[in-house]
Amino acid sequence: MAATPTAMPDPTGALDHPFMQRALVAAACCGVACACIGTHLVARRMTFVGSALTHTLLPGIALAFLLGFSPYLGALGAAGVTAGLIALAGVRREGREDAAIGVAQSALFAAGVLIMARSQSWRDFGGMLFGSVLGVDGDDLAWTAALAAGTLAALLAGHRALEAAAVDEDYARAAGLRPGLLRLGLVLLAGVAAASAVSLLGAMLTSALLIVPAAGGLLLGRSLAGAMAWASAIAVAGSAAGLVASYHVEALPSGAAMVGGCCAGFALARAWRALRG
Amino acid sequence: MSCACEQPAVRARGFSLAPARGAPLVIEAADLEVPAGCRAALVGPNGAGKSTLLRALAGLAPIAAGSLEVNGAPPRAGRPDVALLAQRPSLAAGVPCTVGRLAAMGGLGRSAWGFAIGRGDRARARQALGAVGLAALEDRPVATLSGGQLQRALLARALAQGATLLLLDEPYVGLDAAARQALDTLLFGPALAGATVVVSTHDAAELPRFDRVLAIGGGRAAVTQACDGRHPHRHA
Repeated sequence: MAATPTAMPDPTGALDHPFMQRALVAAACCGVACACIGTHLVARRMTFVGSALTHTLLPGIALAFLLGFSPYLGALGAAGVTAGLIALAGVRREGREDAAIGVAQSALFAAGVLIMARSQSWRDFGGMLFGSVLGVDGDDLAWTAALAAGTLAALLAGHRALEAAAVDEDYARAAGLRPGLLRLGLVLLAGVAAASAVSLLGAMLTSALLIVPAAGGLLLGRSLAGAMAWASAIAVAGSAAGLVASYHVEALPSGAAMVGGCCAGFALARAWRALRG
Repeated sequence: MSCACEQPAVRARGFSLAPARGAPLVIEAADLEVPAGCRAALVGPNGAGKSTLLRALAGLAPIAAGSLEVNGAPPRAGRPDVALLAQRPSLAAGVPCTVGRLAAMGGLGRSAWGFAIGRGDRARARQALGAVGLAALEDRPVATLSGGQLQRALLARALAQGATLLLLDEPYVGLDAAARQALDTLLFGPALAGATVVVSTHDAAELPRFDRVLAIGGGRAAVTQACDGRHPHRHA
């Protein structure tokens, strides 16, 4: 007689709770989106752009808090402004682009702190900076899933063009593509992916989700698509491991634990690469 | 048999060229013609404008005056019948890419969107890799190729693109004797039969192999070695 299939038991008991299930699904959604877009950023040596982009989400989130609209809309607006500034820095070549991005990052982050100072609510500041993974509700889950799906859909549609421009910008231009516009699109998409993670990881930790799994994936993948797949696996497995660990260890903040899990995934990828030579 | 081709691959009349808008002209009021199927060498001192001319033929540099036609139409970026292999390929070292994927990028002009490479582009890439002798390296990362292998992979991309005018900027630089020999076999052998090839080079030893030598310098352009009309490569 065939055995009756049963749900796989969770040995830790962590996933019995709805808040943990929501956190895990949200982490998987934004983890995959950030890992895929982050692979493009890290491969193109735009890691600093990714880091700056997430930090500059703060004024958008703070403004949303102050005026009472969705932090996701605030984050998207801030990402749009940052992407525009980064694009402008890339076009105006008289200065150093990285310095211009650094200035934009500092200025916008400071603007976020000033906005928070007006709200007189420093208690909520921690959530904006570091997120609240276990506080993810149904609305957060819907926003995160929608933004992640939008990012992935755009990335799938533009993959060949983005890959060609990343591998050989001159050839892409000769083939009629516009590498500058593609770069702007990539930064905008990175902003959308980062916005998908603001409730989970906040303005400070989201950059880790963009960069760490991607750096690990690029050590393992033989193609950009392969690296994106590996990066997604590191993001999902690392985030899940971190979440479960934080459930069992009270002193372990869940956001930091997720980042720690991704860093462990990167370390494994690094070790595997070193072993293979 | 005369050299009057039915339609030259390149025809320029009173054509002037500058490396950038407002910069001094490197070629001024020149007439040039490269018959279809020819192997043409482009020679001249450093700064004479060889790379700029090749970029203009690929539609990547605007001409300052006169007319320029490539395969019967004004040059523009994105034409599948023209491929430029740059002197220093701008291949990004940090972006993982296999040889097969690089060759399949030849299909960008047909479709640059979507995730997967189409079956037709994949088949053309495999055929092109076979033609340049890299079929066995299809799954190898591009970063592990030697300079000569990279040249051949880029040629495969141009073939997969369906280019009939190949523009190679200093392709012999940095190649050892074996790699130069392999490149010559490709350029002058059956793999590129029917295509027109324009190669910029400083290497005088290579010139006798070409049907036509275009010399540029001091703002002038001249044909110093005319095509003898046999076009051996077109009929190879």
